[in-house]
Amino acid sequence: MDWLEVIIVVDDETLLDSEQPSVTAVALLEPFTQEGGIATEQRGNPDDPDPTALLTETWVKGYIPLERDSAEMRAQLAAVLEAAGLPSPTFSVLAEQDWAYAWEAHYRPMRIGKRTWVCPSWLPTPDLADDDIVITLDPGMAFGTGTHPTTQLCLAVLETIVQPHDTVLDVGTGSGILAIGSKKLGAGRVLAVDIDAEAVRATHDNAAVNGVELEVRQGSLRAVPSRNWRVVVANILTPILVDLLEHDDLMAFVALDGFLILSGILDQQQSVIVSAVEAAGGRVVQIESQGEWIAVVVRRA
Amino acid sequence: MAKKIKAVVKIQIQGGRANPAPPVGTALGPHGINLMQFCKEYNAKTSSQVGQVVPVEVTVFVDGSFKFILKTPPATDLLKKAANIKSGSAVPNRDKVGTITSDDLREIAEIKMKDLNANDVDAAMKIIAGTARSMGLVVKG
Repeated sequence: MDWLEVIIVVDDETLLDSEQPSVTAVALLEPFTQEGGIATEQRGNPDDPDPTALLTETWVKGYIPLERDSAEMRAQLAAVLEAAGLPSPTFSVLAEQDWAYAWEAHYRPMRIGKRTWVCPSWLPTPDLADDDIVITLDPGMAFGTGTHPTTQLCLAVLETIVQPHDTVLDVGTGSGILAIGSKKLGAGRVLAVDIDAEAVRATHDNAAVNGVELEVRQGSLRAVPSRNWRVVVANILTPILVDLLEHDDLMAFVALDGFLILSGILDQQQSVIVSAVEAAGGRVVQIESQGEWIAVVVRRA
Repeated sequence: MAKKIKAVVKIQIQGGRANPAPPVGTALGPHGINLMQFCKEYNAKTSSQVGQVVPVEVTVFVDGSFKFILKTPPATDLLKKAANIKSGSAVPNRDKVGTITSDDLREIAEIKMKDLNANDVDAAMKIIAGTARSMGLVVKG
């Protein structure tokens, strides 16, 4: 079935009669969209450094079966909106497509570092060199799909550091991508922790899909039963990393000859991280950057 | 890891009944998120609320990953139940389809409080009253 999409763009900063314009627009659209339903959308603000910043405009989108499209219906809808002081709607026709799978066209296998591939499960594995590794990861619920610069920085650093049978601790594992990558690079014991129950579940699922055995625990560093890890990787956010270094003794989890890899750090936060590392008894030996993000490699001083 | 938000999409879906047809597919599909996974997760989390609209707020990140939270039932749904009508009016200024009391408004405002951009219940009641008028309901009392 083909659909007519009606879009009304309102600004919820301007309240009409103490009503939110988007709420009014949804109520007015509803009698027209019994079959197709309504969605509202606010877009991220690309110019704001705050990643959670949104634009104030709200797109109210209603879906009407195309067979019910008519000049009268459009005029009636426009009149109702105008009477409520709302902007005119725009109409566009959406041809039938298999929405369940259309999104898959957005994804391709990605090469990261020198030998790591991240490949969605529905695509064939690319041609591999002998020492290439493949992480099968379906994009989905939040946390680490391999497309973010910090994930890529960490994977590329892990490639150069992880030796066969190394012990690896992944703090804030998310989808488990870095833990799975470490295991595929030959690591021995790998422990992944995350405070989020959903992340723990996703990591279990992703480890099973990749045929690797990980230890996964819900919690922060307190959930880690032992110290002396040869590689500790934490791809989180600068304030949390600083907190882990200052209050949770993150440095003490790294073996004397081990490596700590920190990312989720914006380039302008570099000095904050370097100070926190030095205060915690570490020294930064390598800094990698991609776009505005950096990853630092730390050894014990 | 701080991920840049691409969009926040709110959709009204029947609990346990998400599927890739509109509005879910048409609203989320263009953002390139894993639709089947969304539907599966949504249906699992709302399996005890079948027959009730459970709105969802989906945050889509620029890398195509997403997260979602469930919201309180939509004001229009609660108003339709309170006024005992099936649908709002297509010409709300002219064709009135029912009435609603201020007690009903207060009850609905209290349910919706946490999802509304309102400082107190009175402000929330004004928003709900506006929604009621937009549906062709007469507010009494």
